[in-house]
Amino acid sequence: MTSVRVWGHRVTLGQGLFWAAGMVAALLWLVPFLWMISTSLKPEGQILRYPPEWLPREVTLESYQRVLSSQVVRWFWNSFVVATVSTLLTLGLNSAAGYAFARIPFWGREVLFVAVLTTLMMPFEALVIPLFVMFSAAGLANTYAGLILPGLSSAFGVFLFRQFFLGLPRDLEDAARIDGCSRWGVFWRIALPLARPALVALAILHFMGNWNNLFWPLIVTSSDDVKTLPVGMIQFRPGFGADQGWAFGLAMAAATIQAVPPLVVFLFLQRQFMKGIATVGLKG
Amino acid sequence: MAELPLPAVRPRPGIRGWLRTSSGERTELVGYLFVAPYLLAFLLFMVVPAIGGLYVSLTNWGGLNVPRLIGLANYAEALNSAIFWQTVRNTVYYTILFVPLVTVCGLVAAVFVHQRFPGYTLARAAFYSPYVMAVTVTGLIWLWLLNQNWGVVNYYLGYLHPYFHTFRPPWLIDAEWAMPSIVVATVWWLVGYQMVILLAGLQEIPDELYEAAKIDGGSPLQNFWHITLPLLRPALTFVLVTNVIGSLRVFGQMFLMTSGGPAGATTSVVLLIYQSAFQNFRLGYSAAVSYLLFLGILVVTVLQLRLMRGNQAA
Repeated sequence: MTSVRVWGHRVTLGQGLFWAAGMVAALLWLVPFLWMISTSLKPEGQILRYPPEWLPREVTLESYQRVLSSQVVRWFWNSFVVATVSTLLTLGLNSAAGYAFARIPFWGREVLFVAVLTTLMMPFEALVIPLFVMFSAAGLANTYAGLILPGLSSAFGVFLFRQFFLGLPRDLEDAARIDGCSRWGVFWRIALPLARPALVALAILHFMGNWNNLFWPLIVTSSDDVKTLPVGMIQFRPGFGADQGWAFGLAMAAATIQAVPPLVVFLFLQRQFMKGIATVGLKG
Repeated sequence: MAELPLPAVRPRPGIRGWLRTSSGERTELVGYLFVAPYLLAFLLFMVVPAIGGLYVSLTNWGGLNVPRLIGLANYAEALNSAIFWQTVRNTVYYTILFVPLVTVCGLVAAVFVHQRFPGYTLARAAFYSPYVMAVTVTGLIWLWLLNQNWGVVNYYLGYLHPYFHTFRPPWLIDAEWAMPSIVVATVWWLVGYQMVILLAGLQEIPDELYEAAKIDGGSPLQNFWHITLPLLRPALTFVLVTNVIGSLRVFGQMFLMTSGGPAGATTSVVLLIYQSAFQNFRLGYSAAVSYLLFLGILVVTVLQLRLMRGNQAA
C-alpha cells in the first residue's frame, strides 16, 4: 500500500482514512455533551430557539443560579451521600468476606461461597417488591438507609475480591503469620494494601452505578428532600407547563452539575481503573 | 500450608477441631467474623426478598388486601397475556439491536484509541463523555435532540436532503421508530464504558506479537483478525454477557423517554414489572413477571457462556 510520512511516521492511506473517520465520530460524540453545557449558559429566551443556535448570545449563569437555589442541590447532596456511604460499606464488607473465602479455613466455607455466587444472576428487579414491603414495614422507605442498604447484598464484589486474593502470592502473609500477626492484622496490613487495584476498580464501578441508579431510588423515595439526582430530574421532562424554555435550561444546568463527580472520577482515576479492570475484571 | 509451623496447627481439642473443612483444615472461628457483616446483608437483602418474592408471586396480593395463595395463576396469566409477550418481544428486539451495535462501536473506538494517533486523548474523552451522565440526563438530552418539530436531528436532516423539509421523522412518538431511536441514544450513552473495558483488554496483548506479524508481512486487517480478536476474547465475552443481561433489564430510557409508548411499543419487561407493581398495585402479578425475567436471564446467560466456551474449544 502507498504510504506517506507524517511527523516521522509512515502512514498508509487506510490508516489515514481510519484516523479521519474516527476523529469525525469523536467530534459528533461530543456534540450532545457540548450542547448540554452551551444550553446551560444561555439566556432564558434563547434556549428553545428554532433553528438551533449553538452558542449562547451572551453567557449567563442564570440557570445555575436557579439550580443552586432549588431542590437540585438537595438531590445532589443525597446522591453524593448515598453513593459514597454505599461504596465505602461495600468495599469493607466485600473485601473482608472475599478475603475469608480465599484464605481463612472454616467449616461451611465452600457451601456459603457457592450460595453467594449463585445469586450473581439474580436480577435486582426480582427482589424489588419484597424489599419495598420490608423497608416500608420497617419505616425505612424514603430514608438514606432505604436507599443504601439493598445495594450491599450484591455478590459481585465478594467474587471479585476472592479472585484477587487467590491470585496474590501467599508467602508474605504466611511469613507475617509466623511472626505472630493475627488474621485481621494480615488482612489489614498486608493483603488489603496489595488489593489496591481491586479496591479502586470496585469503588469506581460501585460509585458510578449508584450515582446513576434510577430503579430502586425511584421506588423507595417519595419526598423531594430524599430523592437522588436521577430521580429528581425526571421532573424536567419537557411538555409540562408553558415555561418549557426555562425548565430545559435549568435541566441542562443540573445535568452539567450531575456530570461533575463522574468526570472527576474519570479524569483522576482512569489509569488505576484500567489497571484494576485488567487485573480483576476479565479473568472471571 | 501443612509444613509451616503455624501455632494454630498444634492439636488441641475444641470446637475448631470438630468443624474441620472439607480439606481437613481446622476451622478458624475468626473466619466467620470476616464474612458475618456481608452475610448479614446478603441474608436480609438477598435471600429473604428472593424467597419473599417467590411467595408474593404465588398470591393475589394487591398491597392492601390479605394475600391469598393462588398457585401459579399469576404465571399462567402472564404467559397467556398479549401485553406480557409484547414486552418480551420489545425487550428482545432492543437487545438484538443494542448489543451487536454497542459491541462493534465499542471495539472500533477501543482499537482507534489504542492506535495512539494524534488526538487520541481527545477521542477517548469524547467517546467516554456521555457515560458521565445519568440515564435521566441522557433521556432528557435525546428527547430534545429527537423532538419532531424543534429537534436538532430533524433540522440537520433538512440540510442532507430536501425530502426532510416536508417529512420530519417522528422518532420517539412513532411505534416503529421509537425503539431504534432509544437504541441509538443508548449506544451513544454507553459506548465509552465498553471502550474502556476493551481498551484494558487490548493493552494486555503483548506488542511482540504485532512486531512478529510485521516481519511476516501481515496487513493491519489480518493482524486484527488473527491476533487482536482471539486474544481479546475474554474481554469481549465479558462485554457481551454483561450487555445482554443489562439489555434484558432495560428500564430507565423507556421510562423517561417514552413511558413505554407509543401503544406499548417500547414497554420493556422491567417497565411492565414497575407499572404492574407501583402503578396498578398488582404485586403478585408483578412478582411473577419478575421471576419469569429471572428465569429468562438465567437461561440466556447459561446458553451464552456455553456457546462462547464451545467456540473457544473449536
